[in-house]
Amino acid sequence: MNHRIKAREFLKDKEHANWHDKALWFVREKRDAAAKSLKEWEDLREAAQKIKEHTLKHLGYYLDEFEKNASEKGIKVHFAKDAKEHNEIVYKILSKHKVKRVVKSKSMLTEECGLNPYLKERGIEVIDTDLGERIVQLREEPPSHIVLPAIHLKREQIGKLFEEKLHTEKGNFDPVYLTNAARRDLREKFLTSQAAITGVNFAVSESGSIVVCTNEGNADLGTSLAKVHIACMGMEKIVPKLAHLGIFTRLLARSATGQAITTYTTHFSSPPEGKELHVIVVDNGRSEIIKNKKHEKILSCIRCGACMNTCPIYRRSGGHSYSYTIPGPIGSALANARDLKNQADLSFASTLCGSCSSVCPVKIDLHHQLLAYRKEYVKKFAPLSKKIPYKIAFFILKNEFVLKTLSKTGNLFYPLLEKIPLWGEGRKIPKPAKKSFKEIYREKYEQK
Amino acid sequence: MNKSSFLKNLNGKTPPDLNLPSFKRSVFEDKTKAFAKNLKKAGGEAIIISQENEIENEIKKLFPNAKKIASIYEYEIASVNPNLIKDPKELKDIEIAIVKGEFAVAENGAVFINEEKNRHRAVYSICKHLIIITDKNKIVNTMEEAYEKIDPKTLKYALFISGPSKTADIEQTLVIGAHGAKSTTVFLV
Amino acid sequence: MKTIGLFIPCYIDKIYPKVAEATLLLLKKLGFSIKYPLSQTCCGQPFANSGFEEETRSFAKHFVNVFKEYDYIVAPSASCVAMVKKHYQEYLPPSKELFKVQNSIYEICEFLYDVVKLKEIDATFPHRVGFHQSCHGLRELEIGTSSELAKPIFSKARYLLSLVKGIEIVELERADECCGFGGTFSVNEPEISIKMGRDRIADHLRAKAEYIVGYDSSCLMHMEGIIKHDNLNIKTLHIVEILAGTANES
Repeated sequence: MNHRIKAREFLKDKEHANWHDKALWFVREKRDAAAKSLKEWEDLREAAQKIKEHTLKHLGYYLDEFEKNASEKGIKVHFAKDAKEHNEIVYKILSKHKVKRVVKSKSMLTEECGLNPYLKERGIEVIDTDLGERIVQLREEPPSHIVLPAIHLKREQIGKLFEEKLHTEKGNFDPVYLTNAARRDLREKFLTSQAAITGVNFAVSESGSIVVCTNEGNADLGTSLAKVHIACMGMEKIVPKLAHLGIFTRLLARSATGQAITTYTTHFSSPPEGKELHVIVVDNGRSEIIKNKKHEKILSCIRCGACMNTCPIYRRSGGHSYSYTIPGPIGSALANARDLKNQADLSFASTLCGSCSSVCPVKIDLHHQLLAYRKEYVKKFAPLSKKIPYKIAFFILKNEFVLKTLSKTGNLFYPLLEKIPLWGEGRKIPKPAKKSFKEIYREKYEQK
Repeated sequence: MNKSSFLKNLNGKTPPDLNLPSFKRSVFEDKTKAFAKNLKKAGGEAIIISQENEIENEIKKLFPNAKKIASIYEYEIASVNPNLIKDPKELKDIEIAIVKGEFAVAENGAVFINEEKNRHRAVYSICKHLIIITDKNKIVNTMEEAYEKIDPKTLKYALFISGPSKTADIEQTLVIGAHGAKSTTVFLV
Repeated sequence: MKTIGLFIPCYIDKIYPKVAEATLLLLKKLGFSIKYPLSQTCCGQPFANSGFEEETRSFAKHFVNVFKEYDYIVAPSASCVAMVKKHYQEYLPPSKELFKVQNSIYEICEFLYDVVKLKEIDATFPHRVGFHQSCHGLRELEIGTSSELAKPIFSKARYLLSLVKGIEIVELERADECCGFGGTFSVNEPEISIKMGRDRIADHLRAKAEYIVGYDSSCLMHMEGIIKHDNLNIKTLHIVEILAGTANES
C-alpha cells in the first residue's frame, strides 16, 4: 500500500516524473555501452557471482583472516552486532579524540544504522561530503538512490537550496557553478574536521585492506587530512583475495555509471604515521539472512545501483517511495529479508520483468527473490482481507461454468462496464468475446 | 562485541580452493593508444615524452602561471617538498602536485600509485592539478593484470587514479573537478 | 505422427479466441495433428506470482494430468509456458509426467523456430509494426536476447515476423522495456502500470507503427485498454495472427 500511495504522488508531477525516468534510463544506456564494450562481460559477472557465493559460505573464516591481517598492519578492527553497537563504537572513538566535526563520504551502512542523527544528538557535527549526499543533507531528506543521491532533484531546486544555505548567486542554476560552490564550502569543512568516516566498497581478507571507490575524491581528501579514519562496513563486503578485485573493479563503475572505473580506487591497508585507522565490521541482521539458503545471495550486492536504473517502476516512482534506506529491487529484497511482515508491499511493487537480474553484476536473481518473498508473506502474514479476492478468483478459474457465465455477462453488459474505471484511471477493461475458443472449437474443429 | 562472539554463528572452517573458470580477457594491440584514449574519456590527458628531463618544460607549458608546485622528488620547478611538512593541511594552496606511478592500465586510463616514501596521502587529492609520471613500457591491459602486480602482503596504502575528480550529481551533468584535482595529466616516459 | 496438445490460456480463450484459432490453423497448415483438451484450465500463474502456493499447486496438478499424453504442448503465450516450464517443479514433486510436460511445452514462436525450423511463411502483412518483447518470453524463456546482456542480439519471434511479406518492423527507443501489466501488479499499482503502458505505446507511436505486435496477449490486452481509453491511432495484434495469415480478417 505504502509504495503505491507514494508512487501515485510522485506521478502527479507528470513532467518531473518523465524527466526522472529519462535521466535514469540514460544511466542504464551508459551502462549498456560500457558492458557491451567488453567481450568478457558475461564471464566477469559469472566469476563475480562465484566469488561472492564462495565468500558468503565461508564468511567466518574470511572475516577472521581479515581481522588478523589488518591488525598486523596497524588497523584497529571492531565488531558490531547491530546498529546500536556500531553507533556506540563510532561515538566512543570520536569522543576519545574530542572530535566536534567529522566529514563523511558515502556509506549506505551508516544510513542503515542512523549514524548521523545519533552523533548529532551527542553534539558531533557530521558533514556528508559526497555532493549528492550533501545536497540531501542540506534539504534534510534521505538519499533517493544509492549512487546518485540527488537524482530526484532538478538544478533549480539545488540552486535555490544553495542560495539559501551557501549564499550562492540568486538564479544561477549552472551545475558547474553550483559544484564549485560546494567544493569551496566543503574544502573549508575538510580542513576543519578532526575525523573522517567512510564506507567500504570491498574489504580484502588476504591483505587486510579496505577499498574505497569514489569519483569526487571526498573520501581521499577527508581521510588524508583527519587524524582518525573510521571505515564502516557491512560484514558481507569481504572479498578473499586481492586478485579478486581485478574482477570487481571491472564490474562496479561500468554497472553504476558506465565509466570504466571510478576516479579513485583507494586501498587502505595501514594508518599513516601518527594517525589511526579503525574498521567497524557490522552484522545488524546479516547473519540471519545468511542462514536462509534461498535468500543468502542478496548479500552479494556490491551496491552499484544498476538495478534501480533499469527498474521501470523505480524510474517512475522515485527512491523516496520505497520505505527502506536502499530503494529499488535490491532494497525491496533487503527490506523483505529484514521485516517481511511490514515491508511486503515492496516485493509487490514489481512486475517481475527481470531486467534487474539481467543487469546485476553479481547475478543476483532479484526478481525471483521478490517472488519468493511474496510466497513467504502469503504463507506467514497475509491477512484474510488480502486472501479473499484470490480465493474467489480460484473458484472462478477452477469452474468453467462460472468463468463462462461471467464472460458472457461481461460481453453483454460491456457498454455499461467499460465506462466504470474498474481497471484504473486511464485503462478500459477488455471485452470478453461473444463466443469463447472452447465454444468455437466444439462447433468448428472438434472431431466427433 | 568481541571477535569470537561475532563469528560464532558464521562458518569459520577453512574453505576449499576457489577455482574460477578461465576466460579470455581483453587485450589491446596498442596499449599506449588505448590508455591515452581511455584516460581522455575519464577527463584526463596523456602526454608521451621520450626523456624524463622534458617533463619540467612540459609542465611549464601547460601551467605557465603556476607557482606552488609540490613534489617529493627533486624537480627544479617544485616549490615545496610535502615530506618536509608536518601538517598536510599546509598543502591546501598547492596548485600542482607531481607524483610517480608504478604502472598504468590500458582499459580505463588509470595509473597505480604506491609511493611508499610519500608521507602525506593528501598530496593526491588536495592539489588543484595532478601530474603523474609513469613508465611508458609498464602498461597492463586490464585490472586483473594490474592486481597480479600488487603484493597483498606488503600493501600499505596505494591507489588507482583515473583522470581528474568529477561528479554528475546535479541532473546527471558531468562536472570536472569535484573535491580532488581539477585536472590530471599523465606523462608516459 | 506426433500430436500437439493445444494449450490456450484462460484469457485468450474468453477474450481473444481469434489468437487461439490462428494458432490452431497455423499448426494444422504445417501438417500437425492437434487436439485441444477441453478440460484444461488456467495454468496457475496469477496465483503463483501473488504468492499463493496451494492454489497454484491445484492448477499445476490438473495441468499435468490434462497434458501428459501429448508429444508437444504448444501455447500462444510465453508467460504461461514459462510458468509451466520453469516453475512447475517448485509446486509439484518430481514425476515422469511432470518431466515430460516440462520438456515438451513450447510457446508458439519457440515451436516454429526450434522444432519446425520454419524458414519461410506464406503470409502477407503490408504494415508498419512495432515489436513488443514481453518480459517472460524474453528473460525466462529466452525467445530473444534481452538488451541488458553483452551478447549478440537475436530474437526467434522477430525472425519469424521478418519472414512475413510486406511487413516493416520499426525501431523502438526502448527495445524491451516492460509494458507494466505484471498480472496482479496492474491491479495493485494501477497508476504505475498505466504510466508504463502509456510510455510503451508512445514509443510505438513515435516510431509510426500501425500495430503493436507481441507474443503475449496479456501485455497486448493491457496496452489495448489504454489505447481504447485514450483513443489512440494504433492497434494491438498477436504475432500468431500475422503468421497464420488471419490478421487481415479482423
